[in-house]
Amino acid sequence: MNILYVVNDFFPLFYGGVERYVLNISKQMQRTGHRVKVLTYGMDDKKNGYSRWGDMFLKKYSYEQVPVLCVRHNEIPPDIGYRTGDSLMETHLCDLLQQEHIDIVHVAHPMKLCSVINSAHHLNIPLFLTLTDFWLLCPRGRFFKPDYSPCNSPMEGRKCMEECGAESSVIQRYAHAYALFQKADHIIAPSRFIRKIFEQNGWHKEIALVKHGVDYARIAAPSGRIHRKHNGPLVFGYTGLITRFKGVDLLVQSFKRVKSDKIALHIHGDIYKEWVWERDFFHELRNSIKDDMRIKFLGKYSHDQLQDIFSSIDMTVVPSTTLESYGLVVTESLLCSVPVLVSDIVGSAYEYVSDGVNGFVFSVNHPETLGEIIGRIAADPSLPGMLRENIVPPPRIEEEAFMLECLYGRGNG
Amino acid sequence: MSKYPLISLVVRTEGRQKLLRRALQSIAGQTYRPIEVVLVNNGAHDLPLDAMKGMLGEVSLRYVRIERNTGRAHSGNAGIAHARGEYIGFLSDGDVLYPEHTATLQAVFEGTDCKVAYSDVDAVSLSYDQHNDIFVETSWYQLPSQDFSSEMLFFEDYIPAVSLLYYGEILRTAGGFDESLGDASDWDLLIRVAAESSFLHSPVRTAQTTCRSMRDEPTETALEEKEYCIRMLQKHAARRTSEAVYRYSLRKKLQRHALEEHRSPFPGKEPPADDSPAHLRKREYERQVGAGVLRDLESRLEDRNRYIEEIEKSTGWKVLNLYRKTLKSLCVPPETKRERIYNLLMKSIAVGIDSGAGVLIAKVKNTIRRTLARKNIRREQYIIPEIKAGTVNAIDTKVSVIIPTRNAGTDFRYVLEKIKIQKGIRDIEIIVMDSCSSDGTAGFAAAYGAKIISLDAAAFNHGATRNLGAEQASGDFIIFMSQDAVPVDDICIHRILTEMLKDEKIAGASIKQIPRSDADLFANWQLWFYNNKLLDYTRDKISDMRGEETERLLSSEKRRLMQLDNVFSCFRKKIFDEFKFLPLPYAEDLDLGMRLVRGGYKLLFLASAGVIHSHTRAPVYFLRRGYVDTKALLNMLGQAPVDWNRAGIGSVDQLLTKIGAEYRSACYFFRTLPMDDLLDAPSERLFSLFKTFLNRGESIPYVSGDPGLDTLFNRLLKEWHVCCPAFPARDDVVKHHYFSFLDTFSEYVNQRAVRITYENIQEFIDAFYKLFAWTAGATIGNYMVFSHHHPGNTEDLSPFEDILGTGV
Repeated sequence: MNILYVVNDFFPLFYGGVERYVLNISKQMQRTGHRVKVLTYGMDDKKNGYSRWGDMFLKKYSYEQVPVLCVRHNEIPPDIGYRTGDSLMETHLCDLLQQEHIDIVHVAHPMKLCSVINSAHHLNIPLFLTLTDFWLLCPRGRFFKPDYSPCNSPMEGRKCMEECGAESSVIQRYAHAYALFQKADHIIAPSRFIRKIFEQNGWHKEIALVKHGVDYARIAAPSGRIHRKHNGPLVFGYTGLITRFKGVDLLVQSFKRVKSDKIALHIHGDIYKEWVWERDFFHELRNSIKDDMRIKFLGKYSHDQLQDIFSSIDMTVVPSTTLESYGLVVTESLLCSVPVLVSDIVGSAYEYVSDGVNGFVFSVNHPETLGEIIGRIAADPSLPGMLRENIVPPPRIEEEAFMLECLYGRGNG
Repeated sequence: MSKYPLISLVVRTEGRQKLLRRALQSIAGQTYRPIEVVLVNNGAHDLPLDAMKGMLGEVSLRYVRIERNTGRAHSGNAGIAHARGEYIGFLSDGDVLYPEHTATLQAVFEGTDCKVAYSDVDAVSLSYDQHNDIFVETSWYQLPSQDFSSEMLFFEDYIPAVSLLYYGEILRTAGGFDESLGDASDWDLLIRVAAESSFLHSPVRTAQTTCRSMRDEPTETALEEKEYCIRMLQKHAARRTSEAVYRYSLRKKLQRHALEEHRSPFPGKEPPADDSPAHLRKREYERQVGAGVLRDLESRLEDRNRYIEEIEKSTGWKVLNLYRKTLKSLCVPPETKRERIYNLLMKSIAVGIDSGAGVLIAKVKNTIRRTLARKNIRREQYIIPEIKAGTVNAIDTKVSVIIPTRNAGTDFRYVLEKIKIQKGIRDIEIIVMDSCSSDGTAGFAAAYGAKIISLDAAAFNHGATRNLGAEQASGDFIIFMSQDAVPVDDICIHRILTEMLKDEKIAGASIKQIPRSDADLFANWQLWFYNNKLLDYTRDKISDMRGEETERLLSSEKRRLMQLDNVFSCFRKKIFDEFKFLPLPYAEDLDLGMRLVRGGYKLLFLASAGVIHSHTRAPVYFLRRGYVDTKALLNMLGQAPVDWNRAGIGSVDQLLTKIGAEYRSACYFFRTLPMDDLLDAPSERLFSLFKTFLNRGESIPYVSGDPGLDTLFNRLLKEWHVCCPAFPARDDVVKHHYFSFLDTFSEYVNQRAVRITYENIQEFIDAFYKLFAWTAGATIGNYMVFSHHHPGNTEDLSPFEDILGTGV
């Protein structure tokens, strides 16, 4: 089959969870003999390898032997991250889907490229949509208000106008997004959590549950009996984007309140340079830790370093204060036998973490509990070891790919 | 004298067009202008002048054709007669000028009264590659750089003709070439001109000449040349005084000493290569060539820019621009339907102009047809399997999972975990048949509540060990698994049992194997081949045939219908107990499948259930595997082996000779892989080059290949005292089998649209070796079976069994 995976951003410029998911699944599909391409939107300069493609621009490149088609407008519209339709892009993508003889379109994230849903629908190409976040429901993608407090429902866009100051066009946007959702032939959710959110908002459709798998070969599970791999203080670790909605500031504040020299906090990650609004936040964060020698910023990391990072951590913290559909970092941490302390609005927490058994879950509505749990662990450093014994290895990328392949129609009679 | 006088270059040819092309291209690449070429065709067929002129570009061409070959000297004189330039140089069609040649020599004349200048020259030997129809340089060296000595000319023709630039008048005054001296006329002319004028020497390498080995010349030509030479030397004998002879010998002596000093300035040590004059001269040449190319490109760019500037200054352009900026943007605003229609119209006009009205009409018709077709397509409905975690209806049964183990490693923990979390089954017991593991496998398994049966490793047999495990099982269903097979999701067993329970005649089931994410290219292909070609695991199916019907099936059909696989297989215990595995060394699962079908039962193959299982192994494993597979399966499936006598192979050493020769070819190909040609190319290119190379049937020097295969092949060849020949046959049964598998590998890779990169080329090479190893092993296995069935064959083939029959 010729499969086209659609994602709003992709490697090498962007390297978050959705991008990793698309890369992993693309490579596994290639292994089983399918022809795969990734369609993404380019935010970089037109001079950076783009060539004229009708009235738009197209760049073709390859990332880890996965062919990528990167499209962009001549001038990137300022509302590209918001709009749910684009007639110019739709006609171009119709041509592209025909030229590439695409059999399956699988949308991993519809932002910037939701026209592909209309194009595939128009051409009767089977369309799969994975709900990797809440962008269809919420223009911010993560259900949070301007003060970064969680929102529980857009109420068809009315709440967006009242609480987030959105324009009235958000009502129409909501309706368009719902229409796109309905156009997909098959909807997939990686967690029951995200499925529930959509259902609670009245978006009813058969939603299959296919959990994201981890590439075990890339992050090799530790060999031998699981034991602490380093001496010194008990290390809490954060890996991911440094941004407000990931709760990094909450983590730092909670940690600072625990006065124990037997614990340390390592923060691995960086901000996206394009997100200029996060720079002040980042500087404030750095300034806030200057007086606490237990906290270290260890900077950007590559995916290949994850095993080394997890082997230096005793407990991974995922303190997201806005909704996360899945949270790949949870499964990656569990694969490396590192227990997780996670907020209760991260999708994968519902699938893999039992509070007090193989990890801890704190309520985002009671953020002070994060500090309490850290304090409890500081007082009893044997806790992570006990939790580690009960960790169940997460699903593999081969499993996810196989289940998707069945859904694509190959596996059935 | 003008600052840039015209230089005439006389090119003497006798019809070697390919070489002539080189020579003319080098003239066209000269940095100096103005130049003219006087092309003297002495006795050869007429030359394609238009092509020559095209090659020379702005360099003018004067063509002189001499109907019958009148000798080199006469060509030279004809060239002098037609030359209009102030300076004249000479080339043969095998010579090449470096870009700075004429500029360097012409500059040397400035401020002097000398009438002749020469530079230094490189020499090449050429051989003709008939296959690719090109000349290939087989050796390259530098002719010694010699300062001018008129006296030395009496003893040596040390100034190649291509290196010289004469002031035209001196040639005419000297009377040109002496046509009575044949090829020695060049030397003679030098001596006569040297009597009139000193020569200027520029010690820069600016040209290349072709050297012919005396051994390549026919005897008559050599004798003729010798005669001309002697005649020429006799002509100037009077000037060759005794003093001149003494000075010449002294000079040679000094040159020899200088050469020795240059070779080892430090006693006992070699000079640093980078500082050697030879190396510096070579770098100078490279620099000159690069500078010449760059100047040429810069000049073309300047011309282009001037052309564009002229266009932009023209009135027509200004009007067009005005139209685009004003009228068009008003009448056809961007990103509107009107603009789309306008663009479509413009595109149609362009198509009509470029390709004609017929093509345009055809495109329009196609577009209409496609649009209408879209409206007529019915949307297919895809059946979604039930993936509803936690909502399966429990099956009230017990399943015994039996796993033979030996040092299963840490991944085994994951396998046990996946079995433990299986949903929808009332009870699952795990029975581990452990053959003396030393890595804690038994301990892991015990921690998961498994029943451990310890075995002696030497007593292990695939069939018998599993039977033993089945005897310990208390479940209604038994599942046999490999220690590294990971079932997909948590309702895998439930899915299998659900289907099996629909029909009590279904005795056994197998499921699809999926490659691990760290499987190499070959392992991925293996499973793809297994699933898609060999066993047709593209959909769920039940094999339901009467036993006697199976006898009429082809062996491939039998496998497709009856191949159970103990990587993951499931049986009804009661039926299994009746049949059980036979204690075969191999293929006990296929054997059981065949007996079950013949016994009137059905087998289930689920493509919608999967197990993750693959191995990346060294090529030598596949040599053994191919051998063992083929021997076992030919017998089991009742398939006739190849008639080797008819295939022209009557003995083991003939067979091994063919295999060895093909392997040697493959090794040589990979050792000399043209990576520049392959980089970023589609993978078909590699396959095409490889097959073409193997089909050449030419002599191949020995190079090593895969170390494991080298050792094993050498061992086999030594065992039968076979000396591997240098070249493979163009078409033989070994190659035929190899290519048929290579074609399926190619199909897989093409399907994935893989392009060749530095990162994946080694995987390709490994895959080619593994495929070859498998084919070779299969060939030998096939031969073994054939020999066994033909009592007339008295060869002792037992060494094959010793070498290839173990280790899988």
